[in-house]
Amino acid sequence: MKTISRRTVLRHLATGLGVSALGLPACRRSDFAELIDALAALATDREAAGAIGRAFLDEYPDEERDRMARRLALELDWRSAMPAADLASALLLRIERDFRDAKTVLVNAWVLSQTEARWAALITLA
Amino acid sequence: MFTDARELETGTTLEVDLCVVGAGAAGLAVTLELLDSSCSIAVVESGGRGPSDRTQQLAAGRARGRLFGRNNRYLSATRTRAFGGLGEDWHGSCRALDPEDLIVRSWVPASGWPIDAATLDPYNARARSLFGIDVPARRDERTGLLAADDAFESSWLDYSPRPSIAERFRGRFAQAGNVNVLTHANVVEIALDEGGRRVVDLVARCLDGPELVVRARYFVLAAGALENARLLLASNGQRPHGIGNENDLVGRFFMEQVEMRAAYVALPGQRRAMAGYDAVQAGDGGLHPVRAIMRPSARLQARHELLNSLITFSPVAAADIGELASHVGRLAAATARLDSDSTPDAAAEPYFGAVTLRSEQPPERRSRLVLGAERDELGVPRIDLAWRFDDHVVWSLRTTARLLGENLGRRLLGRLQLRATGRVNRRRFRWSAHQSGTTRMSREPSEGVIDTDCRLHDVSNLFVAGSSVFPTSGCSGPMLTVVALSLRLGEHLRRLLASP
Repeated sequence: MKTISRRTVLRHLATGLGVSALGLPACRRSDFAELIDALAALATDREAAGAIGRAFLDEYPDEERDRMARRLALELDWRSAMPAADLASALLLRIERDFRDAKTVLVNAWVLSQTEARWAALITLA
Repeated sequence: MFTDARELETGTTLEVDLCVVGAGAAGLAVTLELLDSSCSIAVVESGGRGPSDRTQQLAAGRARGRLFGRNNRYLSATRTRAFGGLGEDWHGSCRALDPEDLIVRSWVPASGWPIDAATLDPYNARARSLFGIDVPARRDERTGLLAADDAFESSWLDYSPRPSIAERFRGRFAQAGNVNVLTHANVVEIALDEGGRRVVDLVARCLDGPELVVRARYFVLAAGALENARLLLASNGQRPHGIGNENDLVGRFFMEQVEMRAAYVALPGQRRAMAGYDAVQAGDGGLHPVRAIMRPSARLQARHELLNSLITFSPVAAADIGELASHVGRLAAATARLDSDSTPDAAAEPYFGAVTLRSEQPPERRSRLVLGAERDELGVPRIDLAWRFDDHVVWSLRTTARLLGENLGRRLLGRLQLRATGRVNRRRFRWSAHQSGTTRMSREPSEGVIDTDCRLHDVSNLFVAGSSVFPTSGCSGPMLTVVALSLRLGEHLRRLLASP
């Protein structure tokens, strides 16, 4: 059985993730870069994503790069070296679930999934 | 036959079996049932073959409401005093009420009809036949519809290939030996017997012309949703509060349908499917015109306590929506492409459209017409209308739009931009000229003006036809239901007239 040190617990708490995220290895800033690159690679239209990402960040200035990446890593159950097809499936599933659960944001009054808006924002920041 | 009442002698008295007030769709449909029968019928129509400014002025009055401007012409602009009535301005859309419109809904006060959908069905079918829209539906082959869903339904809205009521019926009425259509005759008073339980006759006046009296065994008011109530209220010589108004219900529960320019959509790969929604598709190959529409399902309405609404789309250019629209369409396409099973269509140029919602309004007792202080040229008090609808309508329209956006997103069909997010104003919201509810149908006299046979609860030979009898309005245009109910009333009157 995996043991968790007190130090690990404190580190996770300090990053705001809490105990639920303890199993997630992708918490280091360097890992976010890999995730963001992987997400950017999925965008077949980076210009459009970039435009929406900028509009989202303008309207939601509190959204910060590492926090968005951390949240997406959690929600997509992302692992380092995750196959692109698996990440695409997870991203699509999450976007569909967002719409189903009304987890949406308004960007210039467009009803977008929270996940896709953050996806677009991370592409902007990549 | 047609008779210009202006050419009759003053004091002329007509004695007939049935007198129908109003030669609009309702009055004509009631009479159709008795055409070429042994019953004599007088149809008393305010206008002539076409509208005239002076006659239209008889319909003017005062209308107040949050979507009416100052000095508006709502009352005269939305009603036509001529043979065919408002049907002459009708574009032909025919849609029955939805089943949930007729039932009691806990979130819609005073909802529920005292008759059910099964009662209306055979008359809806006959009305569809009258309007030439009873052909078999081969319509899905013309163009696609957005895929079915348990939250939002798509269906075809039928259009009559010959929407002119006057054109459709004029020939038959001209030739009918038992029907006399009196044109230019304005009913100004309904007279009861001494007991006040039976109409004896009614008085009609012509502008610059004679006054005449029509006596009949039965009378039908079919003068329109507002005029029916006005005539009952204005006939207050024997009953101070007007006829049928013992419970202070005549003129109350006035309803309009509220339209909202709700949203824009960007739908990648859906141009072909949306062609059916964009405009009325011309009838060809023996098919009548149709247009695709959407609406929230009964299940979604119940889950979110929404009002019934009808959703239409019209094409717009991405540039007209805003800078981000094109990008949103492309992002939606990129998201759809994440699906390994997505079709190449998903990447096609998006469809951009404007979304309009039209909602029923919950029946509202305070929404009413009364008689104003001013009188028209014939001495009849003008209408003073106070249209009220509560915030449930606005909330429901906005919630429906947002739910549609989430639905389109979940189904990977596209994205939606909300438009009417600010305060209610006349740029985003408007009335639809679909009036109803001022003489509502009920089982109990304490809840409405007429019974399930469309007869006044407390007057034995006076009936009402038209949308004024609707307890709830639904979101469909009222024409098909008006004609269906009128055919049903005509059938009822035929049975009554057959007995001595």
